[in-house]
Amino acid sequence: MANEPLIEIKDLKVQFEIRAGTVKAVDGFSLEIMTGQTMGVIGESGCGKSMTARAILKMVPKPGKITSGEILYHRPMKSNGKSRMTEVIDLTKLDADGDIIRQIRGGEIGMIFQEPMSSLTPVYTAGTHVMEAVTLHHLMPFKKVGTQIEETIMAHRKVNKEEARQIAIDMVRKVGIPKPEARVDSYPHQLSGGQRQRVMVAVALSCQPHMLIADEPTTALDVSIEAQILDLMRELQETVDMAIMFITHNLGVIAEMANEIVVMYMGKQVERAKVVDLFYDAKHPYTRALLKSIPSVGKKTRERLASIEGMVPDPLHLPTGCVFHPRCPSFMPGKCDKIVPTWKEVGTDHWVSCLLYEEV
Amino acid sequence: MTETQNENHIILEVKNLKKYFPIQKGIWRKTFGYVKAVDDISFYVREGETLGLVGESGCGKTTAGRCIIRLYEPTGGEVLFETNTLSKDGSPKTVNILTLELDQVKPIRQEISMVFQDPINSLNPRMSVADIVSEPLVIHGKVRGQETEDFIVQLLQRVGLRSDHLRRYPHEFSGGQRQRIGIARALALNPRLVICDEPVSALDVSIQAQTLNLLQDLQQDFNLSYIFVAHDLSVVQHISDRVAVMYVGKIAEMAQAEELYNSPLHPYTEALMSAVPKADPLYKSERIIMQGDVADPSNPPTGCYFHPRCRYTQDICKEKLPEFKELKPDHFVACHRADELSLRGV
Repeated sequence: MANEPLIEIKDLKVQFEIRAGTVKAVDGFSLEIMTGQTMGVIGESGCGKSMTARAILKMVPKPGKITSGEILYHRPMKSNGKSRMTEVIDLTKLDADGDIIRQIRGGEIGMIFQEPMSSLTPVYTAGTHVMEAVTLHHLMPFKKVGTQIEETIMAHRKVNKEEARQIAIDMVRKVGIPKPEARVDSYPHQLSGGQRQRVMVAVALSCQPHMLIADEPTTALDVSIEAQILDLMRELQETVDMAIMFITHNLGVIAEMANEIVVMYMGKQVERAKVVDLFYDAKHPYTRALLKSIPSVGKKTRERLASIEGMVPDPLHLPTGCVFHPRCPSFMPGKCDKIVPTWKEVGTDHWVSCLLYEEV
Repeated sequence: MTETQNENHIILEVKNLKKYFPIQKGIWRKTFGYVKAVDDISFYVREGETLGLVGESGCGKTTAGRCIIRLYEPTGGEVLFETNTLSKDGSPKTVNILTLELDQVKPIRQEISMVFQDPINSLNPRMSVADIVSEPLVIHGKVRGQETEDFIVQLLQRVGLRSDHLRRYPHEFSGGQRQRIGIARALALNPRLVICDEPVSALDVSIQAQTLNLLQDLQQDFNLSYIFVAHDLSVVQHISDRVAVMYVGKIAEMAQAEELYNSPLHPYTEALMSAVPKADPLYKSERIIMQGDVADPSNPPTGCYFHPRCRYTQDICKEKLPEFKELKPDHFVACHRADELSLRGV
């Protein structure tokens, strides 16, 4: 299956003007996300990965602004047989409250955020949340994955309340919540944290979006539920050729889900590679340190974890040169603190920005 | 390491611990049934070791931890703890925490302390770091003026904070630093056993690594024992000497960490291990999908609680509750078929 670009982020910058100065949350970030592919994004908190995700949906919180760059969305048109027609929309230019972005947000680009309590409205029941997403976007989500796949994708039609409720129950069951018939009538506060997160997944997937932005979707969940949800995402990805932008800390999850991984640090991409290359042949010292600092099952153990020295720098006072140099184990004095590394291809589809791979 | 550990004696022994929460309805709060959050579990902790307690959410692992120091009042069982005080014949005195009067529990809480999951909600926002960390000393009447302050400064430095942090308030710190404050508070009374309830699950990756390293260093320095409650199997494997796997209020299996992960004896452990995503893109996972849902602790199935989801169910599993027994040295399991099955680990 040919994978075409669905989202192209070009030199995106998101800045926050606060009294103390300008915080560059995203600072010249570029990325293409292909249809049917999973792009993993890893990095520490505050590196700008969630902000990038929000920028795609025009949901950058105030006083943040997209100051430059573009996000091109190759919006699939109504399918007319075989050829795939797209129109290209620059999402950064859209009105954040306009009709187009509201159709896209939640309908064509689904999202799952980290904080389930704040993304569910407390006065609605769980079922209403899922139903709302379904009726709002006039889609006919699937009744049964697998057997009825093709007819369900073709049948984009408006559903009525009862059908929507049925779909809601179905989705809630699919994400592994017991007694879904009863659970759709419970309010967010009556669910456990893990269940709330699963309702969010149900909401995001119920419209069969072209792209799913999953920001730490399974972090709060148990492994058995996590496995179910990852399977559900993959199943849907195959069915509707969905692209996924997968933001996580969990190396196991990303190794399993992602086709390609981009590593972010302080609003910039520092390395991008196919998943196997990144795990077996990481180039950037930051990537290596990050991979080593996370315990993973099966690798014993009892040794100290390699932790990255120091803290993430103050975003108002970024270091000169390469922003990682104060914490870098391969720091080269006189170079790394003076020269900003460029984004370079060092292998097939393997990009890195580090002076170790440049001749200076 | 294993040998020296085995020589260490047991400081905490939990026998048949039970905690049933009543389900009450109506204006008369009539009791309709019980949620068996912790249902007849037994385990022990040796001096200087870490016992990991894992399981899915709602399996009772947090409740078990809290029952030990009677933050919850257990329904039944025994918690035998070897205290620092000596009995008349000079040997350490062992007490059953559950039979003590509440005022007698207080001195025990000097020796068993707790680190909580959420570093934001477990620190009082209106107290400075100095107040938070010295509060246990005040409560237990151990304040000695300037001496206390010096002690707290030392303690803060030991957990990686600076002395000028003393007069600051919790909101001025990052998540990792707040968890360090929580750890400092837990250590203020020089405990022997620390119950860590999901101490790193709210932290960022690199901070998580730093915190785990800190916990391990402190364990060596102070000869601490940990009960480490967590749902993240990789973190538990990393830090634990022994691991107990809980399912619906019961311990399914308990063994040395390596043995449990590599050669589990309980089908639930096997399924859980197979579900953990491996940090290796070339690894082809053969996941065991557990059928159905986690059993309802207010209405558990007959026989073995795991039998409706188990791949190896036989008739006996549906009828008889399996006994929790030591099948190999230091390897306990509650499964009728444990000795005939050969299960795979990670």
